[in-house]
Amino acid sequence: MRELLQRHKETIVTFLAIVVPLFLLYVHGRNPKQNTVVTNVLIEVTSPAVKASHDLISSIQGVWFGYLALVGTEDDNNSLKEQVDELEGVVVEAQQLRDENKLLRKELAFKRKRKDLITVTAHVIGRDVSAYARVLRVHVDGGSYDGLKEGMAVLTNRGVVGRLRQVSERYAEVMLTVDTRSEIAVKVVGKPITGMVRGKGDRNRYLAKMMVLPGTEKLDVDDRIVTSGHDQVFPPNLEVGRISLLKERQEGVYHVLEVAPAVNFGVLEVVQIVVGTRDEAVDSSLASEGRQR
Amino acid sequence: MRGIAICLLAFLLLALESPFLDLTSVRGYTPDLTLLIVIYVGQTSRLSSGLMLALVLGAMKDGFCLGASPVGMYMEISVLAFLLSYKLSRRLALQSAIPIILVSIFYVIGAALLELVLSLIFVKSFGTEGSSSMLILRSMFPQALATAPFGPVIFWLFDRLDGYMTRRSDMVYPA
Repeated sequence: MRELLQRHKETIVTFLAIVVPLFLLYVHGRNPKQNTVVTNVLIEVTSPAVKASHDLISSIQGVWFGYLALVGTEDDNNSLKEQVDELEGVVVEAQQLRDENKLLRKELAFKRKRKDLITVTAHVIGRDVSAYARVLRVHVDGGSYDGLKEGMAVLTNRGVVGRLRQVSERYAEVMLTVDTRSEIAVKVVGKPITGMVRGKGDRNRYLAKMMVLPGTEKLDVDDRIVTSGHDQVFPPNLEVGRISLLKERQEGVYHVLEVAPAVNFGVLEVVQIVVGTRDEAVDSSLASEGRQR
Repeated sequence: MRGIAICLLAFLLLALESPFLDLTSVRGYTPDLTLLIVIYVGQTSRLSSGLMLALVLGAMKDGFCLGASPVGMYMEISVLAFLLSYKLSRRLALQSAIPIILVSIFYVIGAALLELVLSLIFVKSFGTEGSSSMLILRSMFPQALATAPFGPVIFWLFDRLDGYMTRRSDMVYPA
């Protein structure tokens, strides 16, 4: 037996190397949203590396813009070098603090404005490395233990970012609204028109398309599009984008329009993940009170 | 030892890829570094150890692209790319930049088609989630052109690593 195995070792290894990934692909392809031990392990192994490299590149960038780019000024005035460096450091730090403060204030204002939403704040640690899909990797201050689940809506103060696609204990991945797999139920502000916004998956620009049933109301460029809440994923009245191109195209029974997302995905730093709404919270507390009684 | 070194370097490159591309504002087309490394491994490794390396490299790529494709996709692509590269290693002499670039283009297109076929067969929601197949077909050639220039760099880098690990001084792939 051992001799047989030894003789056919290469054939067996080749067979296993082809079949094992196919089996994994079969299991995960049937339900891509389902988290398995394998996906959890992969997220836990790769996410710290992405975060570390993101921090490394950010610090190199900080050193470059904060110091190395100013080396030329040493020749002009050596006596002021230390002072310039010191002040430059203070300015960069102050600018970073100001920007961070501004960003957090905006997020806070959004949280105050939408008191009906219970959100968890998360930091973006990596951007899409896949060739064919738009995926962001975010590092959350918590994880599935804190109630994050796949499918939850991800927002910023500017509007809808996407929804969670993979969640592990400490990390999560976000599928953007411009991904071809994304679908959001929407309505047009000030007009009785509802429809769906789907990602276009454009490699060069972040774009989505809105699909509406032909109606009597006329749509215009720059019409604001917000969530309708009909999909039970995104709470209503969250900014999705604006109609950017009015040239309609027929796709089945739908008219298709081009939509520019409200959020600039290229500069995302902080996002809010909707873990529930106040109504739900009130309902669940009432339910638990009822059970106690 | 060589396998561990290759895996570590590949992991480092994959981890640095995302923030680096973000920094350089080249987000449109991501070079498929894993595929290039697998081609190199196919050219320079024995079958059993090379297959294990291809599996691990594919799993890494799967880990870095979790939200985009189901686990197993890049493992399968890596294994098949390795087998092809291994079979061709005696016929192809990839010792200068131009052949490496041409072979890289061929492999990226092959990998994209394979990804499309595997997605159509195994990913239940693939056809129903928008124009995913058109996206792959449309991006295939630009993707190949974005990846190909990295071919000679990856071959040179990993050849240096091999040289360092085995204390060789004669490099197969010149700088």
